[in-house]
Amino acid sequence: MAAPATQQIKIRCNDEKEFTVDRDVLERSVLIKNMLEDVTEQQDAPIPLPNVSGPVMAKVLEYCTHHRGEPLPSADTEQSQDETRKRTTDISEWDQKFITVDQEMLFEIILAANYLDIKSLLDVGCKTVANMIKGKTPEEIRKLFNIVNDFTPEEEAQIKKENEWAEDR
Amino acid sequence: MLDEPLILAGLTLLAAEPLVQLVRTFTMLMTHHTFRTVHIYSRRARCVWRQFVGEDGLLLLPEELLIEVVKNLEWHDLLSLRQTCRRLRLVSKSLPVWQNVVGREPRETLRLECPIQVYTAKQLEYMFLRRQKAETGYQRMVQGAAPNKRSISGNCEDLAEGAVHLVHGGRWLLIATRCGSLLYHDLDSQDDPTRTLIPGRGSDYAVGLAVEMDHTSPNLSFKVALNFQKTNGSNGVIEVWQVDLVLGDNMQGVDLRAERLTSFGQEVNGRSVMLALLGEQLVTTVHHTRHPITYTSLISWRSVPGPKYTKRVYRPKRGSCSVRLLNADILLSVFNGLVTLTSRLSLPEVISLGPHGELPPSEPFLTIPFDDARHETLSERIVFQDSVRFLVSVGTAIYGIIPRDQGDSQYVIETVKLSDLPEMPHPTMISRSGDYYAVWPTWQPLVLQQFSWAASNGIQPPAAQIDVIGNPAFQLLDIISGRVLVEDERGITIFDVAF
Repeated sequence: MAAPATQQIKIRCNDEKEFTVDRDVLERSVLIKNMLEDVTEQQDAPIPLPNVSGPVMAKVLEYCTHHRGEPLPSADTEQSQDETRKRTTDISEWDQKFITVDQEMLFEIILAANYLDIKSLLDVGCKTVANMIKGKTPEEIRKLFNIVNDFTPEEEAQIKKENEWAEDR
Repeated sequence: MLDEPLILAGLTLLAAEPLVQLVRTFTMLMTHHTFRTVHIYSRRARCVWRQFVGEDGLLLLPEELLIEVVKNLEWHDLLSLRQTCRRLRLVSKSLPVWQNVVGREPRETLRLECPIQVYTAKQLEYMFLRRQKAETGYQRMVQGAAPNKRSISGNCEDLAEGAVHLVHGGRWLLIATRCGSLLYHDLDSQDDPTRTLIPGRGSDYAVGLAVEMDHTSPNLSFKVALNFQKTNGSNGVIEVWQVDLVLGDNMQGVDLRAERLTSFGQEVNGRSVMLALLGEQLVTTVHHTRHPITYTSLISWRSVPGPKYTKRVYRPKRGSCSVRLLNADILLSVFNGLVTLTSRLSLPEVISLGPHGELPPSEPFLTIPFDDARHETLSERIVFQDSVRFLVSVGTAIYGIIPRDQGDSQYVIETVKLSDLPEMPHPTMISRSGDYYAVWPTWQPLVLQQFSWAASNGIQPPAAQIDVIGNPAFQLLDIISGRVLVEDERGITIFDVAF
């Protein structure tokens, strides 16, 4: 049943923060879209989203509002997925500005986009992290993400040797 | 169901070292579903994590999301990433990541012989990095390093001169023999016996060999044309065979098999110097016995009815001329400072050239002058992006020739100087794969040169040389595998530019 575009939906985050949002904005999230389609009668109770906090949801909604009305990538066309996969790591200017956030928020957005099933946002997030990694040495990557080197010295020497050839490129 | 406060309480009770181990194992094993269920990415859990483990967001992502991130990386970033820690090392070796890296590569530079889905991550990584190692190996050769080499043993006296072929992808080596058989080797295999693809038919044959790849087939598939000529001058025979990959249980190629499509007699009136196959057309160029001239015959090989069949014949105004098929209907030739295009349908249809070869010279529909009228060598037909191209060495430079169809059979020919040749007298052959070509004179060494189709910008990368012993008679380059094949009077040598 097609709902009028102006229908307002209430959601509640895990920190009790509530949002009232236009249905078409929320439907960027395939998770919420499916939930709404399953519900036949009008409900006043907010949809609980136990895996997303208020500040993250605010960011996600900013994204969904900007991209409202754009066609959703269809999950069943393998071809279009292939093309998305092949595309390089370029991100549109608006998305780039949008995703310029601290690391903690960036990973929260990725997790939320995955949970809410917003493929384009997940893509933007993953590409942004990939761009952060690009061109860095192993040590620089560790520093960037606070990664603990858990190799034994022998393993490390072995791995370094394996990959040495690519370094002077 | 586990409860967040319970987990946190449990975690704080543990000492730091076992906790690190526990949490690490935990996240390694966790699927995204359990991840969601236990809310480990809630703020409080992350505080505990940071306090003890000191790691931040990236490693808190579940496996499937780490893969989504890492999929976007180029190969050299993957190699950096895998040196950071164990978990990222595993992710950098995962199948979706390598399917993505290989899938992004144009088929021209990395063509797999089977669909990408049948390969393991390790195989994809090996094939992809071999290509990169060939690039690095090339740079090392520029600096003077010698590539690994191996000789293909066998009955070298049986080798038919010039009749070897390294199939696109570099795995399968085809060798035609004077007995009229076609042998093959699997160069990727450790145990590489000589195998027979097409059985022999006698002795004392001169054999011409041409291969046409079928790039539309999901698995490796190609046609082989063989041109047998008794060295005493009688009994010419042309055969066309279909060759397909034999698939093993894992749906990967384990062997080749061949099936004959056609066989027909051929008028012998000279020495065959070129054989090519393109769709319905089989092209053969012959130095006429009685005239200092080359004739190029085009045979619609699928519809040869019997011993008497017609062919269309191209005859240059004079001399020997390199002729290639641009497409099914247009011939391109380079001779004496001219590049010409001739319509196939304008050529006379004959059954026999006759003993004297009295055909009028063919009339090209387009002729453009070439700056330099010195010794020319024309490459095989090259399909690059949306056009067919050729390389030609003229004097001391290599040019690209790009004929473009403007519609309504109107053609223009672009020529672009690609690079200067190293000092060498008369380059005799030219072979090309990817962005590399090889030229070689009638004696050593072999010269490999990188080039760019995007016109010359004045900067020419230095050439690499391979020292070969003897006079290389035939040479092929396969940049996918980084292999260079050299045939000389002593046999066949394979150089592995990748290390």
